Amino acid sequence: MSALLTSYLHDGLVLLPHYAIWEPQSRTLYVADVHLGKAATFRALNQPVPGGTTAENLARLTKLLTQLAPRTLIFLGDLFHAPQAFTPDLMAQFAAWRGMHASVSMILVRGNHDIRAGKRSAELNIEQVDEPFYIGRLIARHHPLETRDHLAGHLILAGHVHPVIKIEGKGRDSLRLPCFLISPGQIILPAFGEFTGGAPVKLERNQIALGVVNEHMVKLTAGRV
Amino acid sequence: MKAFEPHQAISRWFAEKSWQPLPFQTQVWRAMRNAESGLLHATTGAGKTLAVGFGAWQALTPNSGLTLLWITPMRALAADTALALSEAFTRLHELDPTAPLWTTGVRSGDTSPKDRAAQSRHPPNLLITTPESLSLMLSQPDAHQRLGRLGAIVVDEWHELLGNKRGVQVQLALARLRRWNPKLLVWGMSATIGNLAEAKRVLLGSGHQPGQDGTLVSAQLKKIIVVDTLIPQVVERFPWAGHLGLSMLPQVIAEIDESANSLIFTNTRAQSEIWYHNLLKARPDWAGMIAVHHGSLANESRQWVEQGLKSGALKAVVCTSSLDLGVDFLPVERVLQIGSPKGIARLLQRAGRSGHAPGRASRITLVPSHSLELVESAALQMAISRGEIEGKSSPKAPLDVLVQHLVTIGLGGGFEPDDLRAEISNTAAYQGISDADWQFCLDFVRQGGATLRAYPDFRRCAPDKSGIWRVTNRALATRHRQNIGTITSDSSMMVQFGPAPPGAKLGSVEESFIARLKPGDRFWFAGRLVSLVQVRDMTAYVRKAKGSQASVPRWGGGRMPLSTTLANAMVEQLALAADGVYQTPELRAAQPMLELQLQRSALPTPSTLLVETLTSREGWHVFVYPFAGRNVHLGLASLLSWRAAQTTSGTFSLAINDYGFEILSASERNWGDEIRGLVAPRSGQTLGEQVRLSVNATELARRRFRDIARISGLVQSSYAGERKSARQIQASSGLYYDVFAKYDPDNGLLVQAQNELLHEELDIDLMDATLRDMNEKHMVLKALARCSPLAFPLMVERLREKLTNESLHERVERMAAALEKDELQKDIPI
Repeated sequence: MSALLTSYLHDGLVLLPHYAIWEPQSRTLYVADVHLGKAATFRALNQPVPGGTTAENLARLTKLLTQLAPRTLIFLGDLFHAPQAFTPDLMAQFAAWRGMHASVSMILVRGNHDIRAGKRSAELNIEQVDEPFYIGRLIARHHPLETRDHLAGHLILAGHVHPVIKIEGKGRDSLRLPCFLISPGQIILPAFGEFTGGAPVKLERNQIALGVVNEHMVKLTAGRV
Repeated sequence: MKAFEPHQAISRWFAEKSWQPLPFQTQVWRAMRNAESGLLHATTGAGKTLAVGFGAWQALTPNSGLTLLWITPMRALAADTALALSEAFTRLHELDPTAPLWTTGVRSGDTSPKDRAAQSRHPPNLLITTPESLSLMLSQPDAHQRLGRLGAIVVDEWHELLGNKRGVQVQLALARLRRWNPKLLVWGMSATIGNLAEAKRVLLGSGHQPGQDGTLVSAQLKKIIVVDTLIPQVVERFPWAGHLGLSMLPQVIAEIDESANSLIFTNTRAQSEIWYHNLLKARPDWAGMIAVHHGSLANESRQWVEQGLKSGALKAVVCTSSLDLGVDFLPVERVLQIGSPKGIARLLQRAGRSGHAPGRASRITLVPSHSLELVESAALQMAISRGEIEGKSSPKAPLDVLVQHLVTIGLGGGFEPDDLRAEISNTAAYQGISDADWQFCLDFVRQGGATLRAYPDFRRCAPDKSGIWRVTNRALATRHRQNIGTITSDSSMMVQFGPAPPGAKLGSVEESFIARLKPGDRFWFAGRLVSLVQVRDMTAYVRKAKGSQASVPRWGGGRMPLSTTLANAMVEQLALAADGVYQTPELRAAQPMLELQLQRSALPTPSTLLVETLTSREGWHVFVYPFAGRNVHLGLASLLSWRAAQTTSGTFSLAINDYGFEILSASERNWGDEIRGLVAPRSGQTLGEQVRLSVNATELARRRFRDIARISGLVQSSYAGERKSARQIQASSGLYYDVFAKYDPDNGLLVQAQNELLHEELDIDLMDATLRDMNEKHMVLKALARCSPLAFPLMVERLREKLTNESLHERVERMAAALEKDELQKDIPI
């Protein structure tokens, strides 16, 4: 039996190794921290990063949208990296992509980067809301909350952290994997975007991490890493 | 040849002090008067500053601007040199009022903006500065006007710069200054290295007229150097591995006690802090009489220590390479070196800190931190007695430095490509740079890459209407000037008492070290135990902590490879031990360890290659001891594990030290059967191709890319109080590496990372020779029942490389399966 998972069920949600959470009941898809236009921002500020990451990010979103056919796609903040991200080229790519998925309603819970980047709801055809955004028992946020602040009966979905977990094996082997971080009352998603980096997390006793590797996940708990 | 008559003021100056000009000083004066450039080989304290300083004074007439530029690799040195020369210059003018009065100034990272502005308005005749500040001056729009009339440039401690990218930065600056003034006098000063003629050639470049290749003047002071070892009192319990050397504390204290003043050299900053703390703990009565000195401390505390050393107020200073250089005329009675000095040149340099007065012997005492360093001490003494010493060579065409230089010149008046190419081709580093490399650098600063399509909207430096390439973006200009230089330490963070009320600034420390700490964690800094309060705006606020234990023992600290010269000398010492010859006190002290090595395994000799195998709960180990230095071992370990992975795929952890390497396999292997075949030569691919393939399976090229990313301006350093907007373009070098590898795999900087890895880090030529050598030797294969003394330091080495040809998927699956198994076993009730 393989120790690797292709999906993970938690509290009625399906955590997917495509850096996304699927809520089947309302057909809603959640992703966090796409950071579109990060490379373009770098270039605009004289830092040479080759193009291609935006197309790749959008292609990965398209794949998910095609497979799952969601009614709603919710971005948990930091969809766009900075004001400089809105280059004509990127806007054209994004509009084409948005047109392909016109039937999906999209909501952006604004994160710190979106606030700096500026509102372009009409242009992007994406509804923008501030955190916290309530959807039944779920709370969509960009910034996660400290564990003690969690609300009973609610489950928070958040981003911002770009969590990465270290896994170790025999022969002093070790790897860093982007991960979902599950705590009581809260799930933090890995960053969806390419060229985003990550922050290592240490697991507490009541937390579970799901490390993502090649469209699979590995479950890790505090005693086991 | 007519005898050289020094200027009468100089003759009087010497007479006043009852000194005689030394022959090498007169030689330099004469050469400079004859408009010759050159290299002066002299040790610190020999009078080299007067040789070159007075030489320039006699050869040049100071104009209204900068006449003499003096480059020093260390800020601490700048102040000392300035003081010595300005005193002397003032006195010369007093002795002969008809002689010009030279003004002096210092410019470095420590110079205040106010002083800088004043220097720009009224430049001193002599300016003492660092390579980084020189590049910064070249990035000013009026650089040509300010530096074009320079008469002479002096590069102090050239041996420290020659072999690294900082030296390349100096080479590029020299090429530019020489083009502006073809008659520019260029003088370097170097301590003893194995290839002084090459050092001179690199310094002077190749742009000059035939026959003008400069003079090599040697101070030829027959300095007697005494090297001895502090032998541990209880050799049986002396450790096999480690680097702190604290078991020698009582003996070191006794040595310090006996001398008026001592310098205690350590290899890392953390080690210096720990030694300082332990010395004080053992001798509380030394409070205020001993101090610690390293590169991370705030400038004021470093100056206080240097002042204390000079005035004789301090009995001992624990230091790092921060006191390797300069601080001229500094009388120290005793020099101790904790742990391996890693090379003969460095040992000689440190020894030179004692017995400065001409004719007096320099003495250095080695304090071993583990048993093999006893053998190393014996080897060092043997090599010194034979006059063996390492040489240094210039890096070859590093593109990252060139990319930085293009932007610097783009700011400093702009350039015309063919013209600039001709200029840089005069440096040893970029002589014969290929068309492809040059074109890559131009494309990189102009449009990011070879194809414009890959980097839309990007621009750093571009030609204006008249074809002059310039940088026009002001934000970029500021960022570039802040990041100029090739010293690629991590971004650093201020350490300060506070935050409320804000207290004294203690110094700076790597950001990566602070990132590992939680508030409340304690560590040693500037001789104090402090605990972290909070981190804000690139400042780590700390408060004094009680107790005596740091929760985080180590930070910072580079690793120098042991030189090959020294490693070879070590095998000879081990061969003596194998024959039962224990004649030196060092070898006798290492005898218990060496005999245990013989008992459990064997000793390496010049004619045998020792290989040990061991199975432990960590996995399947093989240890090989070619004694070729850590760089070659890293290459060999990668190569052999890659060859092993071709028969059965796997994941390997590699540990290396200067004596040998370990390959640890995560899955079962019979190393004993396999090893001969792995070492044997392969037909088909060249060694270079094989090594290239093998390092692709490691993280090495990616790691090497870190420095390149910083120097070429991809990764920005962070600064205290920096505006938020700068943070949105911060990405790690690893991210850059990944995104280049995926979307622009032919990027010249990636190729540079591979080439530097192969030729500088792994030293492929030496590796080739070593591999051949290993095949010629008789292989002694030992299956260990228990870890041998030679294997032990490798087994406990925590900094490791990884090589794998398994997919991520396979590795995670294997790790996850092992975790499940552990879990199941834990669940079984006993």
